[in-house]
Amino acid sequence: MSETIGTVPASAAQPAPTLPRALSLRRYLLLGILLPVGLFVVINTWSLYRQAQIAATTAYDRTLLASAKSISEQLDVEGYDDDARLSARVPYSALEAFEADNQSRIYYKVSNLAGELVSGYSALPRWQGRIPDKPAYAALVDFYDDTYLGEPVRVAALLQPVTGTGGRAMAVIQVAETLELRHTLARQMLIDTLWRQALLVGVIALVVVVVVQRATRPVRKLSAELQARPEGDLTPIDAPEAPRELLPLVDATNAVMNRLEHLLAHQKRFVRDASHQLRTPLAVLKTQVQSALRGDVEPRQALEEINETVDRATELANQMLALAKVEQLRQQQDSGVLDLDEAVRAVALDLSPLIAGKDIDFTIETTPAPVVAHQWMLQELARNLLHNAIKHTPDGASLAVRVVADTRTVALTVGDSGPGIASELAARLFQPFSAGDVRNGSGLGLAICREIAEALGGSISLENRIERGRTGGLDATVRLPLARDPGHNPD
Amino acid sequence: MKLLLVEDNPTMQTTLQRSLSRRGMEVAVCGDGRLALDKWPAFQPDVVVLDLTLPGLDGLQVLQRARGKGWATPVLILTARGTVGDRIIGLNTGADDYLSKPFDLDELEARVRALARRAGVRAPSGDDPGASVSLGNLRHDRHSGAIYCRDAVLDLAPRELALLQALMARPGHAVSKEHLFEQVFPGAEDVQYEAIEVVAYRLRKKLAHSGAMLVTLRGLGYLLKVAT
Repeated sequence: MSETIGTVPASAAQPAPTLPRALSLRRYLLLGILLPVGLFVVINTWSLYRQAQIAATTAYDRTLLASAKSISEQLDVEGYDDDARLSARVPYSALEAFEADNQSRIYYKVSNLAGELVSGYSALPRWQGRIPDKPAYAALVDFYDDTYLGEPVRVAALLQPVTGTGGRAMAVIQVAETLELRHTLARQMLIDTLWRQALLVGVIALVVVVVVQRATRPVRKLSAELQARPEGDLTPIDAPEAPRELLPLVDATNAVMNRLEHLLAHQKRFVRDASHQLRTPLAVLKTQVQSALRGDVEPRQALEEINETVDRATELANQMLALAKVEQLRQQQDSGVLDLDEAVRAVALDLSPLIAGKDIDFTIETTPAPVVAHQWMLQELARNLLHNAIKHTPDGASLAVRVVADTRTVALTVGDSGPGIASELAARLFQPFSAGDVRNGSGLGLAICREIAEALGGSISLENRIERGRTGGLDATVRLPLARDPGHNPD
Repeated sequence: MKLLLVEDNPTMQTTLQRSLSRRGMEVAVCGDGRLALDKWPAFQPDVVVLDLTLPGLDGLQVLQRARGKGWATPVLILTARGTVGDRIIGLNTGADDYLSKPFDLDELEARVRALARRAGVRAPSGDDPGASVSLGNLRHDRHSGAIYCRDAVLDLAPRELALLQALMARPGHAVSKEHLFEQVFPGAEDVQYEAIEVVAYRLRKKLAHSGAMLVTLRGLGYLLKVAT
């Protein structure tokens, strides 16, 4: 028996089984903040870089255009339109300004609209753009990327009307520049941007780490304190410096500990009472045996008395096991729908020798009463109630069992014709080993009944039955919720 | 009849061996699970009484291994653990019966004999306790079905006899009226439940001097007890 009773409180004290590691709040915050920030920084870097590139391109394009213009100012023309002959006097110095840094090389080409070379590098690919027919234009400029001598170049093409003393014509001036300078600039800008963004990310990460660390410190402190507690210390957590968000957790924990403490106290009291109760029949036994050994009584009589004492001790042990088992079954939740009336009848048949032994005038009336319960619980409930009633019914008196159901609940009433109970005792009788019950039985029967009734979502009450102005007996009534028949219930 | 008793508590072992031997059984004892597995095939018992909490191997393990080796000897499990779970495990592992401690010695003997009977072990002739049941001056011969009162066959109508036979099957215990109805009016469909009361009324009168008494538990059934 010690096995079963021992495991119940022990399991409550054991640490919870290790669960798969829960997400760390710190990691969650770090990832939650740094990942989006990082993503944003990458996008931002890219877009900054693009913008800078465009700005640089525009600036460099303007200088290309400037040199194209300065070339155009060095052009002469003779004749008009198709017959015009362009000539150039381009000083290479016009281009020197660009080549100052020696990084990019500049190429130029002047041609007429038909593409005939006037001056410059003939191999520079011809401008492919189309001249708009309308509206009339003064000068047109076009920037584009091209390849020259296998190298990528940026080209400014200027369509410049040239008027000279003896003529007027359109000249196409192309100035091409290799991209080294632009690339260098872009790279520098990229590196600059990256540095700044990296610094930003670094600062954010540092701040987040520090803040998260500080914010979670109360949690860690609290856990450390709880870990360091001696076993069995269930005093409430006192954490005045805990942040407001932690207070519900602290309160809930305190509530659980409070309940645990009550439960523990209850268990301790039960164990103390139980040991005391178990010692009583042992003491009686000892006396009976010694008395028999001294020859005070006939051996046969002594043995019969001893047998009775053993039966009482056995009953007590069984009842204590039953009480532990109610708790065990309550947590298992593997109950089905059973008929209370059938359980009561089965128990009555079982106890029939006791009923007949006292010549009790027995009556049972039942209606079908399906309830959600564990088979053992229903039988134990009925057995204890009936056993009590039989015990308290005088020889030849009446005992009535009724199972009455309404739409929602069923009431099992076991009415004996004993002396009834004093009203101030009624509540105390449900406590284990309560004074009123001990001399006659284990003192656990009603406690078991109440545990079972409550486990099944019901209640139990004791009431003196008044017949013709005086107590006719005690009615013990258990009310249980009826099982809902799914076929009859639209919801 | 040969009985192997596997029980580690020395007092319990001695007492049981003494009592069961006095009742005509050949009892071998063993207080350890591993030794039990050696003794079982050597002794060739008709029934094994097995305690669950044992040193060496526990009772369920002993049972499991024995069944694994194909030993079909009926086993009655004896234990202080009275929980439903143990009971189911015990019966699933191949136990034939189950008795929780503390138990009644007569009950143990009756169950062991029942197991032996089921396994086909013949009791010494004339000594079969299951052959007849007595109550008051009544005796029910289970082989012939006849019921005697002081060695004279009781004069009963067939329905009264059926009722009395059903009640004598468990003397002192109530039998539900539904069960009695099936025994007294087998296959009847147009007979009302109350008809059983008429039969009971007549039977009660005929039992007047039999030393037995028919008791009514209203709404539940009837039982037979020694008249006071």
